[in-house]
Amino acid sequence: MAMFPHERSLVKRMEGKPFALIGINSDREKEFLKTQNEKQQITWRSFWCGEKGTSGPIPTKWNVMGWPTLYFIDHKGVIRQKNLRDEKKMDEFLDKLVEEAEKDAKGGGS
Amino acid sequence: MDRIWRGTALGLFFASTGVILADDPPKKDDPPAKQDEKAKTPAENFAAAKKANDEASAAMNKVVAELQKKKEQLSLENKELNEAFQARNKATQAFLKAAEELAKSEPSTPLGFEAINAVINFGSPTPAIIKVLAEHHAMNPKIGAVVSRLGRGALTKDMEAFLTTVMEKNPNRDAQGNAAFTLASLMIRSRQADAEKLFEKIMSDYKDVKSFNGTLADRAEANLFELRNLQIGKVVPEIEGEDTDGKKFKLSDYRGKVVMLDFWGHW
Repeated sequence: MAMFPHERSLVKRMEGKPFALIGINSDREKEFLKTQNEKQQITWRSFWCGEKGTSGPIPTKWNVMGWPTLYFIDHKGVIRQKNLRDEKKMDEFLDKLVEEAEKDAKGGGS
Repeated sequence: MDRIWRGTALGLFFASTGVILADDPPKKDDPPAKQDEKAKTPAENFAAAKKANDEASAAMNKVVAELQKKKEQLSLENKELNEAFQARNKATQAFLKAAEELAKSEPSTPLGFEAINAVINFGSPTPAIIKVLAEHHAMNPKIGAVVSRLGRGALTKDMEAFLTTVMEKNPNRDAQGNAAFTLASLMIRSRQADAEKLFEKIMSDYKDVKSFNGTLADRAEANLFELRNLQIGKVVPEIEGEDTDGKKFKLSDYRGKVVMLDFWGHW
């Protein structure tokens, strides 16, 4: 998939920061999924949607009609952006959110 | 001159004749190669480096020429591809126009119906086609599949009037339900409150109408969930499930961290 290289470097760049890339994977066959993950060095965690794949419970509930679909969620759990595709804009936006998270963590419980 | 250093006997011979380097006679144990290096004069180094540079330059030029040739080939192929695309697009436009004309001239025959389908499937629902549908097919019990594919159109007054008529007056439940669903989908962007109301109605009224991946009621429910809970500014709904190793986890386990949530697959 076209996004893997950017995602790999994103995960590496964000190491040690308050950031997580969480997937919602819709591959129907788990064995295929696992070998591919190894091959493509997919190290981040994913929910698995089960054998129904794209028609599995999570994408169905979330009304996902196209893949990839992206949500950008801040450290408080608020949806801040959806479907940002441009890598540079994605990086800038995530940096901003991470900065907010770090600031709040330092501020301590206010 | 190399030769001089190859053997002590020979070296001594030359040294004794006073030829060269008499003050630095070769030692027996020096490796010959090292002696060779030492032997190179700046002029020799220059010649060798020049030769190597000439050879590398020639090799590079060869690669550049080959790449250039490949590039030209590729641009030629791109040109062909572009031309094929353009020709296809032109043919599709002509086909859509012919289909629209046919639909207008015989709106109720099987062939005319095929033409209506062609316009919607290969192009997008044009105002002319919506007019034909409104005038001739609002009561057609088999119009469900057609109205289900009008979501790519614009929410014009004519579109809304046609879909409302099908929804309220068509005798077929499949047609009614799909008209309602398409109308609600078209309203999402500009009239969210109306869209929500209509999705609610579909959720309660069309549990029996099958649609891809469930019923129309299921799809309406998913749309309502997205409209109400998945908008920017909303707290993200919980997700509970298993990871790819079968280990249970929750999205809220990551609260405190920025999360990029990616619906994806290896395809």
